[in-house]
Amino acid sequence: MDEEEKEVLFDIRNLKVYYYTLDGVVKAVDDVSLKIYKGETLSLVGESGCGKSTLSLSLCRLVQRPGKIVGGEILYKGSEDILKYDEKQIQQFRGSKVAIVFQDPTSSLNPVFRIGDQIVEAITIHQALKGKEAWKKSYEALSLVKIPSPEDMAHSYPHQYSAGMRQRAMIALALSCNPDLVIADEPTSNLDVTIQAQILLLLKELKEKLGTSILLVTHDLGVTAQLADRVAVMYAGKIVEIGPVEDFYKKPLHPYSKALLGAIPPPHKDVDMLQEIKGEVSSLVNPPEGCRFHPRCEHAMDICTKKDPELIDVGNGRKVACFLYKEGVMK
Amino acid sequence: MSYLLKVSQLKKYFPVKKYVFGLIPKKKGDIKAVDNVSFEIKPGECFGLVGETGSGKTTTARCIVLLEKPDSGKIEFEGQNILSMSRKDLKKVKRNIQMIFQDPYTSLNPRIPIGKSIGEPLELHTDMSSQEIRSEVVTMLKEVGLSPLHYYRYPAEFSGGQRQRISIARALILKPKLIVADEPVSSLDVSIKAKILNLMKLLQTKYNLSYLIISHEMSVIRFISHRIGVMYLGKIMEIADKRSLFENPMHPYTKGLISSIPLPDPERKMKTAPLKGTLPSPINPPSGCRFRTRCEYAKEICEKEVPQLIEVEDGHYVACHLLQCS
Repeated sequence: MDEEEKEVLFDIRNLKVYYYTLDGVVKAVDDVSLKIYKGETLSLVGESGCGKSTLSLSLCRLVQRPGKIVGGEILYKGSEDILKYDEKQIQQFRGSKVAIVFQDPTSSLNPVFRIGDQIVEAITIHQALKGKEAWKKSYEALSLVKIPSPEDMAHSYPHQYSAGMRQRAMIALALSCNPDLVIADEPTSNLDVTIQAQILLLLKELKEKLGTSILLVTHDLGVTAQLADRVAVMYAGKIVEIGPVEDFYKKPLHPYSKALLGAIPPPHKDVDMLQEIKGEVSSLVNPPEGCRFHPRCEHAMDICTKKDPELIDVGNGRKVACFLYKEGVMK
Repeated sequence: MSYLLKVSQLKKYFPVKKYVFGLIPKKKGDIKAVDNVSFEIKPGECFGLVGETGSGKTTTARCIVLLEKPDSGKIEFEGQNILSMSRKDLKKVKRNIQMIFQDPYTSLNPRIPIGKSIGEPLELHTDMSSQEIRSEVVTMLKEVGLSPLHYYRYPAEFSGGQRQRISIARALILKPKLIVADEPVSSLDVSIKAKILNLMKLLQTKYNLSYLIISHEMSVIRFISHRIGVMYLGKIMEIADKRSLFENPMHPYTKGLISSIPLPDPERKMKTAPLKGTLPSPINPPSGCRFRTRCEYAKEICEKEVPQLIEVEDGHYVACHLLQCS
C-alpha cells in the first residue's frame, strides 16, 4: 500500500486533550498524530483509560468539561482545521461529515421518540428534505441495515427493538446523512457473540458498499482482526504502534502490542497459561518519565526511563514508538 | 464414579404477571429460565456453562448456591440433596460451595474494610479467634496477589482487577470444594483478565477445587474449563469435553456459536453470519426443539418433539434430532 496515493480524510497533528480534574491534569490524549484515509477502517485498540474514546470524541469536538482540547490541529480533507470552526459550523459538521455509533444503543437512543422520528430529525437538520421525503429516506436507511419491514419498524419505539436491532438502528441513524467517517465506539461489546457476528458483517458490507471510512474504537482484538484495515495501539494517551492489520497480527512490533496479543485467551487453540503484563496501567496524571510503558516492559533500557520515544517509520507503512527500533529498519 | 455436584431435572420458572386495570394481578405465563437441566461436576473439575444472554446460565448458578429456590429437581452435593436438607445440615454444606460474582464493584460492601469482608465467612462458619482469622486472611491476601497492608483498606481504594482478587479471596477463605463463578472476568480489561484467569487456574490445582464457571465468552470458557455445557433458552444443548466440543461440535447451535467468535487473525475472516435471527422469547419458547427457529437443518420432527440429551460419543452428550435419527 502506498500511503501517498490514498486520499487523507482526517489529519490529526499533535493533538492534546487534557481533563482538568481535582486530582490534577489527566493527559488523556498527549501529542497524538494520526491520519485517517478515505474508505479505510482504522481500529484504535487499547485498554480502558488509554484515551481511545477521548481521541475519537475530539474528532467531532464532543469532549466535555472538565476535558479540553488544548493543542494541535485536526485537518479535515487537508485544508480546514475543525478546531477553528465556530459553534454553527461544527454543528453542521457533526452528523453530516462525522457520525458516531455509541457502545450502548439503549441509552443513546431517545426512548420517547420512535426510531423513525430520530432518523428523520437528523435528515431534516442536515439535508434539504422534509416530511414525506425525509421519512422515505429513513426507510431507506433502515432497509440498508437490514431491518425487516422498515416502514413498520420506523414507527416503533426503541424498547420494541431487540439489542441487536437497536444497534442496527444506531448504524442507520449514523449513515442516514452519508457521512465521510463513522466512529464506532465499541459497537459490539454489549452484544451476544452471535449478534456481534451479524453486526460485524453488516459494518463490513456497508463500508464496501458506501465507501465510508470507519474509526473502530475497541479493546477486542478479535473484532479488530475481522474488521480493520489498519490498527493503531494506544497506551496511556499515546499511540505506540500503527500498521496494516495483517502485519500487525503476524508480527507485532511494540512490546505492549506483543503483550496484549499474548494476554487474550485464544479461541481457536488450547493454552496452559496466558501471558501476563506485569504491573498496572500507569496513571495519566503522573505518567512515568520517558516511555510510558517502561515500568511494565521487559525490554526496558536506560534510555527508556529518560527519553520519550517518537513514533518512527519502520517501513511497510508501519510506525512504532520504541527505542528497540531504528528509523526505516525492521527487525 | 462419584460426583461432587449432581444437578438433575432442575427447573426454575419465573411467573410473569399482567395487571388487570393496573390493580389485580393475573398470571400471564412463565419465563422458563431453567427447564430440565441436568449435569454433573467431578471433584477437581472445571465445568463451564456457556450461552447467550437469557439462556438461563446465571439462574442455574443461583439455584446451586440457593440464592434462588428451584421449582423442582435435585441438586446433590456429595450425594446429598441440598434442596431437602434441614437448615443445620445445610450450613455445613454451604461452606463448601462459595460464589464469585460478576461485578466486583457491587459485590463488596463499600463500608467494610476488605480484610473484614474476607474474614466474615470464617466468623460465621468456624469458631476461630479473631487473631486466627486475621492471620488466615493475611495468608489469603498473599495467595491472591495482594499485600497484607491492604487489610484495612476499603473497596473504593482498589481497581477492578484487585477487587476481583478480593472476591476470590473471600470465596476461598473457607477452603470450599466448589466455587461457582458467574462471569468472573467479563467486566475486566484484557491484561487484567489474563491475570485473573491465570490466578484462578493456579488456585484450582493448588487447592484441588471444582469450578462452575459461567461465561458468554467462548474463549474464556475454552481456556479455563475441562468440560463444557452449552445452554440455549433454559435447556442444555450439548455437553462435552473441552477438546471434543471445540474440535467436533455436533449441535448446530454449538457450531454456530463457535464460528461466531471473531478470531484474532485477519487471515481467517468471517464470511457469513453463522446464526441468523435472535433469541426467541423465553415466555413462549418454540415448541419441540427450542433452537429450531434459528436452525438451518430444522425438520418436521424438531417442531413436535423435544430432543433428549443423549450420549453420542464417549462423554459427548447432544440434544438434537438430527444426530438421534442417524
